Amino acid sequence: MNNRWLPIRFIWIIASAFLLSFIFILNAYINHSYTPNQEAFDWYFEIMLVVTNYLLWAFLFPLLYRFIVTNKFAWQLSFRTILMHILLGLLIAVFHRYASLAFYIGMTWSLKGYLLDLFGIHSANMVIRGVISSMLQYWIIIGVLWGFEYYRQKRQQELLLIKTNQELADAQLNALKMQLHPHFFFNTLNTISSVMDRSVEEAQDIVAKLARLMRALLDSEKQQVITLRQEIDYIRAYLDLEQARFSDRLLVKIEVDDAVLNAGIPNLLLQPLVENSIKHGLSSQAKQGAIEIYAEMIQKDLVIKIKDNGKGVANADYVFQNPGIGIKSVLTRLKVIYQSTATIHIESSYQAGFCVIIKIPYKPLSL
Amino acid sequence: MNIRALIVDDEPPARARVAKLLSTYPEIRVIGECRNGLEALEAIESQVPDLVFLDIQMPELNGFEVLQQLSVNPRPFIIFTTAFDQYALKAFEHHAVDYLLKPIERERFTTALEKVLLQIKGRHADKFNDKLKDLLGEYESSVSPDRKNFVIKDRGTVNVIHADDIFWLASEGNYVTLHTAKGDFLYRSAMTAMENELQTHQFVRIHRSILVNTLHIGRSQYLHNETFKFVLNNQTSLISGRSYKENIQGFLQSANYIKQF
Repeated sequence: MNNRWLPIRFIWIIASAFLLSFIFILNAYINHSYTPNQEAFDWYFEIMLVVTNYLLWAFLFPLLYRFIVTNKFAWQLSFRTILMHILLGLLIAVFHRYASLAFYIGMTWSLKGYLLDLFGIHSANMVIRGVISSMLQYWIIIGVLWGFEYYRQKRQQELLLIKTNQELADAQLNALKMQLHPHFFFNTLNTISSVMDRSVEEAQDIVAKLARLMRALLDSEKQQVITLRQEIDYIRAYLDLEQARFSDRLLVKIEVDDAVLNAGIPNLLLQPLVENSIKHGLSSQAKQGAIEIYAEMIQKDLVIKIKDNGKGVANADYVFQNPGIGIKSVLTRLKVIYQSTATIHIESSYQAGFCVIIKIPYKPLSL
Repeated sequence: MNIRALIVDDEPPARARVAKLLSTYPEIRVIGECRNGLEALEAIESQVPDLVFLDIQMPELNGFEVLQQLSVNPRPFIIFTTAFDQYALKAFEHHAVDYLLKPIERERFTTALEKVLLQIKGRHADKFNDKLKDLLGEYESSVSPDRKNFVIKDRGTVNVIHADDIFWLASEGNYVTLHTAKGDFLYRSAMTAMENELQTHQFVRIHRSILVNTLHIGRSQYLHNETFKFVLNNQTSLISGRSYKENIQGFLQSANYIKQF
């Protein structure tokens, strides 16, 4: 329940107040019965006294809960907080006592016809007599509230974890879907069919590369993290197919430092970025397209750069504000897998190409 | 009879495939191949082919946009080719226009070609033109604003300006001037029509006669008297109109990526 005022329904709080009242009235009755020499047990008076006491707490309950929930400070276990609860407890206990007393006075007046002075010395005495027990009750209520709050936070964390895993799965699915883009698949089939007229061997090469791509794709469902070598192999196959399709119009350059070939990388992480470069850098303009991929180790990070000579963007921040499905899936996966230890940034200006730089912690993957 | 055909596709293997399939028809002569929409437009207008194999997805102008811009009459017969384009396929089916799916099946190629040869020989160009007109009508009404191209023909040269490439627009009576990196272009349209056509989140109206592409805004500054100054990335300065203050403030709030000084 996400109510900021109540952890449970109010009716249950009222019911608890009545249950406690019943127990303490019973206690008072037993106490009275086994104490010699007394006048008759005043049921009406006792009941009203106890019920007033607990109902008042029931009505204070939402206020205290809200205080606990909205002030992180009230929820920490520190000297400052304990001191605050002692002082606040005292204040509320006094308030609680006076409020109970006000009811009590009203009752005596209506039943017995005499009116006590709420702020007189007699009343002050009664408040002081009851204040410790009221304060104890305050502490017990705070304890219960802490219990509720602890449970709520834990539950929220669990939900967040579930949601994060869900997001991860979604991002991954998106990446796969991007890859299996029907455009790409049909275009490749068309390339094969066309190249066959010219050279059967060349067509066979393309078929083999398509097979390699499909195989990597099927494997990727099993492995969350693969080596950079595998990822680059896969990207190379993908780019080879695009190159076959566009022939002279696409130049490809891949430079990967040997030292980082065994680095672990989420599978198909680069795929949507490469696909974007092809799409924006090549398909939308008639000039010669070029794509460059670099990977190296800088300090303890694996730094991957994907660069194209397309139209670029006038405002790089705009890309993050209105991310396409490709950038979005990369952002989500980086966030989920590396939290804040991975960074992504874009270097681009109008008509000067587009460059994405990804930095993730270097972790060698042993196979 | 000698039929002159043009092949338009951005992928060289795809062009080669159509040429190869055509080689078995002695009456058809391939007069040229084009690699993108712009080349296609120029080639069709200068060479006036009888038959065009037209790809849909291409750089610069797509297949539909090429046809929109054609001013030759009668139009050549068109056989569309596409690898995968659900929207186009639906439109073709709907208007009973011939198309070929890539990879091309020989049998379908033969059927489509024989049909079109009959039409060419019988000179049923009117019927075909009507179908094409309907198809383009549908395309125009459904074209998504984010791939908006403006085609400007000026003394024989054709320029294609994509919305992203417009820095800003100024209205000049019945025309608007598109300011771009390639220069300034006059385009016949009213300002309000342009504002409606362009993506609303990308362009902001700052003056009765000025529409700015937010992508190209370098910085902005509040001047005085409810006016703002915008400096574009190419250093052009523009001053807003007073009555557009709310419009601008709304935009500045939503776009915190603008560097302010």
